[in-house]
Amino acid sequence: MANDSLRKIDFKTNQSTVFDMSAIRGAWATCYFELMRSMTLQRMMVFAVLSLFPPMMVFLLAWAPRVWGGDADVVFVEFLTLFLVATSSVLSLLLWGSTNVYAELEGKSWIYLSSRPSGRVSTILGKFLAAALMSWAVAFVCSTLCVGVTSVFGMFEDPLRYWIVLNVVFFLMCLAYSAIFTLIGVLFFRRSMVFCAAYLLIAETALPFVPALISRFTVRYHLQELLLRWLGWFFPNAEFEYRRMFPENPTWVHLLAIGLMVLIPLIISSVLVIRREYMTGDET
Amino acid sequence: MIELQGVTKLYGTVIGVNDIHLSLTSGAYGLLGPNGSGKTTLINLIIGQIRPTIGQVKLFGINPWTRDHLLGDIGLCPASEMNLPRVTAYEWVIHLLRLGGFAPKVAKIKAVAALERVKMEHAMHRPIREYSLGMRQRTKLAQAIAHDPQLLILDEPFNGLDPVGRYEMTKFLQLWVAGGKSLIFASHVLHEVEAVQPSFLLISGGRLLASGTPQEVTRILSETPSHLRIRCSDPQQLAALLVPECEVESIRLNPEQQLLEVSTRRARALYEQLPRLATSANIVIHEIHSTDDSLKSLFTTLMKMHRGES
Repeated sequence: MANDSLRKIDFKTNQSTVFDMSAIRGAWATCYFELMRSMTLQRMMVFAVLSLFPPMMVFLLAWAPRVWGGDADVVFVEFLTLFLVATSSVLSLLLWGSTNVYAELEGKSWIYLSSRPSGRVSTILGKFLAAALMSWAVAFVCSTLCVGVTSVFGMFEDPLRYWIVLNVVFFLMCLAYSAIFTLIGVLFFRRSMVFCAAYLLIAETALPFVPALISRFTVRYHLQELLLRWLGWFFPNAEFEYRRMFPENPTWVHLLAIGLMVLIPLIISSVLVIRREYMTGDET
Repeated sequence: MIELQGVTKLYGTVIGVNDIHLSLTSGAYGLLGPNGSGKTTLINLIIGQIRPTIGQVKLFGINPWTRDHLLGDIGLCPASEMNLPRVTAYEWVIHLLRLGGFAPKVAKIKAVAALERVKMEHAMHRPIREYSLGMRQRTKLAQAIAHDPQLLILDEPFNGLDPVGRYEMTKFLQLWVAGGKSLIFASHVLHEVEAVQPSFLLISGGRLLASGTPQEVTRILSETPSHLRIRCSDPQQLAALLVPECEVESIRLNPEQQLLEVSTRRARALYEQLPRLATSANIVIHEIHSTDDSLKSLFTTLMKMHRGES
């Protein structure tokens, strides 16, 4: 048996690495499995609520002036669309992306997944992808309906451009936050959702307003810069003051920064998930 | 195949396993021990799920903690029940195969084959939440064997199985071993392990107390103090005959119920002598019953031997 096993396993080539092809294949398999598992009435209801709330609000804002008179504030509607779509997709990320390890530990399936070759890395990468895709799907439906509603009321000058920019920016946002939530889920798996929410409030809401270098380490700063570059300023008078604190950088710098904010957490998560012992509570 | 050198695993201040030295070649091994004795910890150490606090673990000559590709040659059937309410057995086994690197088409073929092998083909498209405990156990076994591993590790595989299921599981394990593949299975029930005829690893209190062939364990068992309850026509006379002939440690008579309770360290000798003694004195034996749990007494004896008390 020992000799048979030695014959079967090529010890020189089968080195354990964080990212290899089997981990990538396993990640696709996990992503597919997670998306398939998400097709339940309960999750679809959550998806529907998150996707329909922003367009409802936008519709009310656009429709109300027609009833009570006056003009709809286009800038405000644009701003609100952005805010609501971002909130919906981040909420869906919190639901689907933050409990990567803990959901499996609680479901007692971690031992089955982690006892497969590259199973640990594949599982967290697959869950990262699934959470990012689900959240982007929320953002996509949201933004499509929101832009559709505003188009009906003839509010935006170039709705198609607005819709494309929104979807590109939200796609980057879903990838970046999903990666960061993956890392938080691996690090603080027992209270991951609380830590993810705390991260959003502290690092992504408060920190970007700090006029210092540290604000550039937030995802929001780079997304904001991309939005400003591609959509222009909602409040043009504010540009001068803003640029005194945050000088303009080329687009590629922001894209690279967001790329790194996706890659670095994923690499750290993969190393951590391999090195950590997760107790299933069944050790006897 | 597996080598453990001075392996200790601590969970904070709690000892999981304590100073285990073990070297296993290919074959079948029954990991036997009471609940909480360290069986699952030992299995998790072997497959690299956890790291030893002290000592070294080698699987196929390599540290399993750093080389998870070794897991491709291992099929693990854990004791824990997975909680996947909406997933079917078919989907679950396919997912685990794909996670192990198999292409989707191959994974489907292998999943169906494994589920057929454990007789789950009729229910494989139903959600796992609708399964009985036995069906879940068979699903767990299917995912463990689907990728055709060389070494199968099962943690309490008989849990939740009805007598037919136990028989089928025993048959399956016997066939697995007969097919030249290796097997380690943990249980706290002696006769379940005995049925597969493996070599025994006896673990208690996180310590490996003994290991050996079924014959060696039978010998240890035969020397374990046994308590027998004999119902016969004349217990007083039988007691008088047994005391000089067998090494009886204590004896208790209950003539009203025609009952004789005997404690002996040489149960085998007593069993051998009893028919002759009873026949010679025309004593009719109605019933012989062992009052103690053989495994419990075995571990008590082994612990005493381990402490140098006997």
